Amino acid sequence: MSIVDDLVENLVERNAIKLNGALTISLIDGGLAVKGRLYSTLRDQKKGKDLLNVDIPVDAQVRVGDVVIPVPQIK
Amino acid sequence: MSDVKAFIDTVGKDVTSVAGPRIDTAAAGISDKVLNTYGPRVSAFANELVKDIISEQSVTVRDFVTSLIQELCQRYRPEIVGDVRAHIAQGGLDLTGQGVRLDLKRQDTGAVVASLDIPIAIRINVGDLGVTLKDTTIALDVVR
Repeated sequence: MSIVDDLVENLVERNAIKLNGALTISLIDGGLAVKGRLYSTLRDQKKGKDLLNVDIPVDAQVRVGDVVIPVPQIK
Repeated sequence: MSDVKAFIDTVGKDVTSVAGPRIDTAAAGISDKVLNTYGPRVSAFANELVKDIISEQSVTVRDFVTSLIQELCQRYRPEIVGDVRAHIAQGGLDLTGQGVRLDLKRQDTGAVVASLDIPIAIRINVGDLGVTLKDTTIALDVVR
């Protein structure tokens, strides 16, 4: 195993990401809109210490095309 | 001629004055008799007649309707054609029919006998959806 592998392994296994925040999903013409804010904290679980705080504003739109539904047949 | 006319008028007045009240009395008596005696009997007879007709003819009507429905079902076949288009709009979902119609076809030939257009325009309001994350922990694990 290389040094990089060890490093990545230690980093990954020691750290965890905590997410807080709120998102609002609403319907807009032709799709969905997602708005809100996420707060992410990278925490060293071994030391019990927060390493990094990230503020993530979210303002995204998802385009959804029309869905065509055939009417059910009478059998 | 005037004497004859006066004669007839006089006789008529006299007859009217004598016979009129008697006719009125007789008419009132007949009316009371019909109302009190024959009326209820006619009503009872009519009720019995209707009951008899219903009880005797209901089976006939039922059989007729049943056979008619069976024949219609064997003769015709309903078919719904068309599409429903769902479009996401501001604050809701719009459902619109495209060429939606009910075709009544002959079972044997498949020919369309009658067609009924079915307009569809439905609006479903959808409120905002809130998602809250509270201390959601993402833990990573190395694949060994």
